[in-house]
This record gives sequence, C-alpha cells and structure tokens, in this order.
Amino acid sequence: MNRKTIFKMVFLMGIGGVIGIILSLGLLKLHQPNYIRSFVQIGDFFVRNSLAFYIGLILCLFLPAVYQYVKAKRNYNQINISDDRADAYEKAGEDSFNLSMLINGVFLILNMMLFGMTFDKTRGDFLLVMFLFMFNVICASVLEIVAIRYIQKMDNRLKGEPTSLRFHKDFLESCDEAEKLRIYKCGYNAFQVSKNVSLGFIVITMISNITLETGTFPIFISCMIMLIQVTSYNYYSFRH
Amino acid sequence: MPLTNTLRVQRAKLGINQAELGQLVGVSRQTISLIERGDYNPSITLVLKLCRVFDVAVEEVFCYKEDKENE
Repeated sequence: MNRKTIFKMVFLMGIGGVIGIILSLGLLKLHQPNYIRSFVQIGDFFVRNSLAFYIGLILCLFLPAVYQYVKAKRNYNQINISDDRADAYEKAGEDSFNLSMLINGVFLILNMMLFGMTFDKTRGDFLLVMFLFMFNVICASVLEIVAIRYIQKMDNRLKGEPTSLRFHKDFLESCDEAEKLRIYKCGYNAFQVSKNVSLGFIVITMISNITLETGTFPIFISCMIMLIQVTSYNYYSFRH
Repeated sequence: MPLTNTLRVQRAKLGINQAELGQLVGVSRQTISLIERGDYNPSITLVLKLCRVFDVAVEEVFCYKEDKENE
C-alpha cells in the first residue's frame, strides 16, 4: 500500500467521521418533544388517510406502469419491419418495459410499506384497507406475470413459468450469452449498490439508536441484510 | 473494441435478416445486432456457429486488430 492510498483511506475515514457527527447532531436536534410530536402527527396522518394513499398509489404508480407496458408492447410490435429500424424500436420498447417493471416494483414495495406502517385492526374500515392492499398486490403481480409472458411469447427461446419458484433458474438458462452477460453485470452492480446502502443503514440505525433510542431491532435487521448479501455472494463464488 | 467483423456483409450474402440468423445460431436478434455493431464480443462457440452458417473461415468474418495503445 503506497502513501497515497493510505492518505486516501485516512481522508475517507475522516469524512465518514464528520458525516457521523453531523448526523448525530441532527438526530439529537430531532429528539425534542416538538419534533417527536410532529412525527407522531405525520404517522397518524398516514394511518387516517391510508385509504386515499392506496388509491393514490394506484393512480400515480400502477396506471403509469400499465401505460409504459402498453407503450413497450406497441414498440415491440414494430420490430419486424427492417433490421435498421428494429434496433430503435427494440431500444424504445426495452426502455418502456424496464420503466414499467421499475414503477410496478416501487408500487408493490410502497404498498407493503404503507400496509406495515398504517396497520391498525381496531379501525372501522380495516377490512376495506385489507382488501385494497390485497388488490394492489395482486394487480402488481398480475402485471409482472403478463409482462414476462409477453416477452416469452415474443421470443420463444425464453423459458420459465413466471408463477413457479424455479422461474429465475429456467429463465436464466434459456437466455443467450449476451443476455446472460447483461444480467450478471446488472446483478453485480445491484449487489455493490445494495451492499453500500446496507452499510449506510447500519450506521444510521446505530446512530439513531444512540441518539433517539430507536431500539436494537433495526440494527439487527440491517446487519442481517448485509450479512445475507455478503455470505450469499461468497457462497456462489465458491460454487462457480 | 479491437474485434471487427463482416457479419452484416455475410448475412446480406445469405439474404437473411438478424432474427433469422439469430434463430439459426440460437441467440436473440438483439445479440446479432450487438455483434454487428461491435458492442459485444461473441464467445468462441458462437463465432464457430456463425462461421458454420456462413460456411466460411473464422478470419473471413472476424478480425482482431491490436489497439495502438496496447502495442
């Protein structure tokens, strides 16, 4: 290790320390009755208006996801005109398709988050909330299944039953070498991003436990996520 | 990329489109397009499959040119 690397490491550690201090001071500022009351009020607002939020999620996320999927289909259907124009249509179709799946994924996660954060079985419209949550989850799952089946119909090399647990394995096996390379690159980049984010979450949950007494459970969960990420990566690196 | 190819020319000689060539060698149309544009270097297996379809030697389809920086 040369001097420059050591200096860089010390510098980054110093920056990390400064960010930690700023974060701690910021969280300590939040640990005041006024702010705590505001947070409780925000939480209550979400619980009281959860029905509106569920409907809002459908309008703001699910419908755009469906629109992007339809747009992707329209572009994919134009591909067989000529090779030169096919690339442009394929790129446009792929962009819309990926955007649709991204929005749909966000929709599903926000639904779960909302359900978890606003769960209150004592409320009068509890069954309606449950119904809306289930409805949204089913809608998101159906869109994903329909989209995968469409891609498979368009390119019959691609195998795998979307409702099966073996789907990812079968799908990956049926991809060609360029598609596999792309999947591996995306997977590796996603792993690196999520590993760094997990580390960030561990630091935040630790500092917030020290300053706001948020408890040890968030620390446990964020550490478990990082532990699973690292061990599963190393497990597969041993296997391959 | 230092690997260049005459895939488009060879394909034109056979009179097939990217999707048809993809079907013949078991890859997607998109992969053929990526190879033609020089955005993807195919594996040895795929190179041999392509050359078998065109019935030509590898050198007639693919050419490796050293980068001047690497020389």
